[in-house]
Amino acid sequence: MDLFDSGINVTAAKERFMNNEEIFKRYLFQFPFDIDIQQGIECIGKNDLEGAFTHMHKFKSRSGNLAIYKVHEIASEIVDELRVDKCPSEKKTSRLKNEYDKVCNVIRQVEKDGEKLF
Amino acid sequence: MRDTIFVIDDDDLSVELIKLIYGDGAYKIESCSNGKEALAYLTKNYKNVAIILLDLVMPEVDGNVLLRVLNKKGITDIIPVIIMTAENDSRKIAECFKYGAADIVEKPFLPVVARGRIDNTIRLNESKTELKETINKQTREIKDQYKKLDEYNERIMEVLSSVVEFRNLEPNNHVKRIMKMSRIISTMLMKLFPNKYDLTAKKIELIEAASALHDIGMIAIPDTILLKPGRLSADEYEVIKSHTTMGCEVLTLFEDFQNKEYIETAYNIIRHHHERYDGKGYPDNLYGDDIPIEAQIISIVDTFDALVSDKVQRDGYSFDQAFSMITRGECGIFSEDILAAFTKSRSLIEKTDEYVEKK
Repeated sequence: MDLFDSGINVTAAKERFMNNEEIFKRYLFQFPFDIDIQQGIECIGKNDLEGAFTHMHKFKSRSGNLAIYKVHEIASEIVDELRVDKCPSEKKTSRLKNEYDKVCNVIRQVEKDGEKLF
Repeated sequence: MRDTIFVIDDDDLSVELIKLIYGDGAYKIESCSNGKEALAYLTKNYKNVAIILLDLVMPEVDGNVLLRVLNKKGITDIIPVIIMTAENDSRKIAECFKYGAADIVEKPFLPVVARGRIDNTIRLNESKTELKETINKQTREIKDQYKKLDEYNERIMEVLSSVVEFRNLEPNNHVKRIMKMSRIISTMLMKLFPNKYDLTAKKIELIEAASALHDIGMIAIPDTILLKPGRLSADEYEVIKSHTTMGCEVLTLFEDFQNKEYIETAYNIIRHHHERYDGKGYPDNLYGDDIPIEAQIISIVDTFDALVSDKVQRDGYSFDQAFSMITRGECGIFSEDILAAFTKSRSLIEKTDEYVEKK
């Protein structure tokens, strides 16, 4: 499975996690259970931009640390909009959700296969 | 020893990455996820913390607010703070530096970059602290040396004055008594008239020290006049009176060894301690409070000591007699304030070692 095409930059993750695959996987496998993306999208739906910013900022940080770059990119765009009190469009939040769901499926498969990543 | 990196971040993954970066054990990693816990930890453990890594976006108390609190408490002066953030709002970043942040590291960070900047910041702060301590130590040493030098100089002055006193056949310890009494009267004057004469503890010390030189000019008076038994002629008395102005010339020899304030005080004492409040003194016929206060003080204590001391021609007067003669204006004319300080100081003067026997 080409993880890079799926949105996970394993090379960058290896460097960031100092070659510690165990710790990387521990956090990677928690990614599908992230609550900040859900709460962030909910806050956007309710036009609670401050709440949305806090949750999306944290989600963006986590996806960046895990080198899940496609999700990180969209999350960064959303955070930039929220920073200037602009409510992200439904199209953008859907894009984020879709990309997130896609990469989560990949992560679950990696966990199931027990694939060595580093 | 500052052996701890303190991470304030609500994202446990960020904390884990810092632990990985410092997996070699160079520093202990402690963390908390909110501002309140952070302040509680720092209050107890700030002496062990080498650096604070602070996230900006946190719930409840965000990093910006916490940084301001740390800055206000002076913690950023002691412990460097690096902001570790994915925030890229330039205004917020600028504010971080304004409130004492040492550096900003952008998330997600490369381990080698983060480690390099954290280590450098810690080293820089350690060097700064060491330099500050060295400067403080050297400043203290220099101040001690200056103090010793001042003490040596004052001692030289006292010894010189004692030599002059010896030559003048002055009563034993006259200089010491003048010094002690000048401190007593100056202190009482400061107490009775707090803002009137610019007397401070420092000024009083100067007056006491400089009073030792009040008769230094006597060294210029020929023995034939100084040690003449019996009455002096008018011309001989004029020569004696010149000890005030001659003393100022002698003082110029010490200008290089003493600070400006000491020289000025000594000058005023030497030149004017024989002025009278009614303008009939010498050498300049100064009137009233044109006479420097230090000279007025020495004038009354010198007069008193002369009255109570045994001379060749007479025994010393009793304390009662001396106080009465001065306050009734029979020996010199003094201001009401000086007389008030003098009379109120009587019990203190009587208790000084040098006068206990005399009383």
